[in-house]
Amino acid sequence: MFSVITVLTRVVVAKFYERNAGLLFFVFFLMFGIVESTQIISYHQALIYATLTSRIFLLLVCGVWLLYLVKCIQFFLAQLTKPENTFLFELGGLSFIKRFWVVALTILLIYEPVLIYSLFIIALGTYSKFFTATTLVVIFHLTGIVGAALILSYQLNHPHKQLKFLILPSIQWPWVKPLPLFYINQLTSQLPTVLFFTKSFSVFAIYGFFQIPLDHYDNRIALMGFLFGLVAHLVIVFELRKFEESNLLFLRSLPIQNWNRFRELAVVYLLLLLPEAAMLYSNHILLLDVVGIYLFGTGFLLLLHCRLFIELNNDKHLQWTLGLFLISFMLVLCKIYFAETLLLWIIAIIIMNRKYYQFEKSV
Amino acid sequence: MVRINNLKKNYNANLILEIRDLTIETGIFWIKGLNGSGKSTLLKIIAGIIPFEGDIEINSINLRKNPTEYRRLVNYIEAEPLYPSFIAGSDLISFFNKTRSGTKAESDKLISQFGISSFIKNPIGTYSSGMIKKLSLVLAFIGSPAYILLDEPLVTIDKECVPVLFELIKEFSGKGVNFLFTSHQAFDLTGLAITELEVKNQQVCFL
Repeated sequence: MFSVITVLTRVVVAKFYERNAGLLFFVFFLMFGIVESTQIISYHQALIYATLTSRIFLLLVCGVWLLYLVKCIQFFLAQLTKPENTFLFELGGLSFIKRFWVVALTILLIYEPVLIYSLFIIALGTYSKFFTATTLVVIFHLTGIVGAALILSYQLNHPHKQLKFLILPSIQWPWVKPLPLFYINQLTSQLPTVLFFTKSFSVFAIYGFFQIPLDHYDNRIALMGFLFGLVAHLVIVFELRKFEESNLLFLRSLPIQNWNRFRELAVVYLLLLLPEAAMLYSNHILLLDVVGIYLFGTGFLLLLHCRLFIELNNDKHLQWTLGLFLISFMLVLCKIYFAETLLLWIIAIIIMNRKYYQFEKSV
Repeated sequence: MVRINNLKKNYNANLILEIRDLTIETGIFWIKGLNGSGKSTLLKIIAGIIPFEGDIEINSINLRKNPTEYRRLVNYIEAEPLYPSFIAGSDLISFFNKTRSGTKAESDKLISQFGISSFIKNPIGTYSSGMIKKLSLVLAFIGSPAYILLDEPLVTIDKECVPVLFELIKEFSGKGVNFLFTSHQAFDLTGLAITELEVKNQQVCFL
């Protein structure tokens, strides 16, 4: 059995983490990167207590876990449809019990990040005597894993039946696409989960800052919330640059002026930040300020994107994103973000113009 | 005419190409060499898609001084082309028609010649590697290039498609288009002169 589990670990588990490294990194960043190191424990205690004490919050958390579980099952099923993995249907030859345990263990390994965090919830829930909520968490995970293992065991034993009901729909554009939609469509079709979480966090960050009571109009509150939302886009920016270096490499041989390339890229980020702009506008921010903040955000993401023409490195990207966030935060406080907006756009244009054709993926 | 001066290309610390002075006149050129000798790198350099030291120009148009005009003169396809999986082949062809000033009539003719009309409206993610290669060959002939660079054009395409490609090379060659290609398979271009080059020890020499 050990050899079977080893193969499944390589074909399914390792591939899952490889494929979803960006998403997991993003979630990890949201959970541990945006809070000061001295406040991490109290921050997570508060989150866990909210899960244990509020039924609505528990429902929300279970909803997110369910999405992740569906993603795990969907990925496993997708691996089974690949021609190189058809040998996995040999598992159908195992007895039901053996097949079930092998699949359950594989799912456990993919579901591990959720389970590890849940262990803390269960421990704190038991310690604080929130037995009902704790039991619900345990039942949710047990049901989820057993259910997933049953579905996948069934599929392994019935290769002629393709289970389609778990496939999450991805949005396809029905019309001929201009270049910016190549990028947007990459996000909607290949990274819908990352897009969903990023935009949700970004919009909620703005909404959260709007809840701060003020006795006079101050656009800096909106900007601060917006800045947190912009930082959350770091995975999307990195993924789009990676996409340029793989599936859009053919663009480099086309006779397009660098200025036009930059313009198309700017449209990508303008489209991407439309929900945030709408959020600002619907919360009584002056139209001129909405336009200014919108351009500021676009410049912020454009600079991060263009910097990746210098080096396509995830660690450095994170450092630059946080660095730019801190600088921008100071400038927002000092009310000089208009000047920064101009600077962000100019630096992005210069980098793009100088480095677009100088960049080459390391061999 | 392609002119290369003082070209140097490294991958990390490894010197791949060092060409002091090379002139490739008009015609059809078959670039030969062992695996890893630098044939594809040479084509990518001429296509202007990877950085290098030195100078290169086509018909006196310098890549560094006039990059957009230069790229208008060169069409290039990779040995293993990769495109966004979610867009249709027809979308990509429309896009190339726009950027390379090609016409729909010409691309429709190419689609028909390569026999890809039955799946051209499907997303590229549903194509086999041979279908993607045929699509890339259609893209290679779009517009009005002076040079068409083909990296291993015969790899993965079916045998019915090979004579179509040869006929197109003959047809476009007759219109004054020049070709540079690499191939480990035989090229049967009866009636046309093929000049052979070899990439060896970081140098390019005529055979």
